[in-house]
Amino acid sequence: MKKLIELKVNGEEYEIAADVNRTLLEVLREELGFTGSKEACDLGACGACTVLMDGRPVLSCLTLAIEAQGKDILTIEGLAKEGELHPLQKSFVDHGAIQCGFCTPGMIMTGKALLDRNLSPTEDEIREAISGNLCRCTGYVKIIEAVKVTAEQQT
Amino acid sequence: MRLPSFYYLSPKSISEACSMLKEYNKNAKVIAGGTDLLVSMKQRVKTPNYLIGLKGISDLNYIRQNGKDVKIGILTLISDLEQSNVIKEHFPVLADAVKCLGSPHLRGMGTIGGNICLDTRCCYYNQSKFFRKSVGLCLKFGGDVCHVLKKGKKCFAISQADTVPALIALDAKVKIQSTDKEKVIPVKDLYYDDGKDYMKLKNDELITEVQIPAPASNSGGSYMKLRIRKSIDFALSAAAVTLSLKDGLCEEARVVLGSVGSAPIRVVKAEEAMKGKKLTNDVIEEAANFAYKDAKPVANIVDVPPSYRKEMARVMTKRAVKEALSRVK
Repeated sequence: MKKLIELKVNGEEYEIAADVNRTLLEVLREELGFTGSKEACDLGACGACTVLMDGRPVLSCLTLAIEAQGKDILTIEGLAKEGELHPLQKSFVDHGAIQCGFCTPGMIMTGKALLDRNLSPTEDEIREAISGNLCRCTGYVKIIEAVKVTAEQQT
Repeated sequence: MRLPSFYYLSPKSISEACSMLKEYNKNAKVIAGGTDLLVSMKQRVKTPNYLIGLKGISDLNYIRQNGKDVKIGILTLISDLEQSNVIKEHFPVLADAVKCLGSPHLRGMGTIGGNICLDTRCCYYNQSKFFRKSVGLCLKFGGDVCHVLKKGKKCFAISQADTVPALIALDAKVKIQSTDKEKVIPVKDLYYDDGKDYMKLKNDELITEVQIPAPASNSGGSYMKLRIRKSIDFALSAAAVTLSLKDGLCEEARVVLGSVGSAPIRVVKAEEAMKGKKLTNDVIEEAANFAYKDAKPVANIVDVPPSYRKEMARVMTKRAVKEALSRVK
């Protein structure tokens, strides 16, 4: 069953005809070309597909595209402004918080949601916030550092 | 993994949703947060023809305080409960349960209603279609074997919802609406002790609200959950405890175990063992022994033997009682 779905992604409006059984992740990647959000477990256990919906981190693999209508969706592609990386992205690069890079978009989106609501999170709060994002290179120490330093720079 | 195809229905009211449930009967499933249902659908554990999305119904997402009683709309997000000062202040057992449910992402998507209706789980059931076919269809899937207990005639899939033991310990009730009537029943009466047919909801019934009575004065509560990782995972063994004190003695107590049976297990003997007594280590130990006896885990979680989960039911109970005691106010 195809339906006309209107999505607002990174500030732009899109209208596509998609089957109602498509997830937001599938539509973002396959219909709209936003391949930054990754598909890994596809069962809600790894966080690689994390995008922000009205500012909250959600798993796009477990979100029906049709239920994402009317929401403000932000993907990793929407962070850089005019070719300039977002401070959190820069911090991830500077701290080597990226190994294979597969978990990075999810980690950064989750980190951004945290910093948007908490200007100076403690290390425990950072660990708790990213506890739904798995990094199989186990590069957690540098990821936490990158988020912490961004927070310190912001304040 | 793609989702199987389905028709998506978007009712605008509860009565419309109930009519749809009645019309499509077992071919329809209600979707709220979708964090459990969509996983099952991707694994082809469930393949409903119709999905009834509740998100279009207004006013199902609220936490209302009426005196000290609290009413929670069924679409209230777990993360909203986690951040609610009312819940933190007056219902610590529920605050504990929502805090350790899934991961932050899942809590920001999943609803209280979804958790109450969470399907029972088993390592032979919550698997890909390929896996299930290779081992043979089990009782829960409509087959004739149980891979956990070889001669089992009944399904032993377990109830792993975190909020349910906490709600039962709080004597919470749910409001259920159907096409022609409305009723309020205790949360503990929602479940059958049967892994396959685990919920007493009729086809056209929809839970719309959770009602939690005011806590007694001098009361405290705690939920202790054992899991492999501190995030994401379901409980291996869990205990929810609420208790109230009068003149230093235990006046009222609730002990409810999770993840060690097909339904949450209320351990009445443990409650009786504490009532009217000062909660010394010996009394707590005795109560925890009853929890150990009542816990009935079977071998349906990979790599975690049931004997360990049974023993940990005792430990979780002890820790929950002690924590609840320290929180009495």
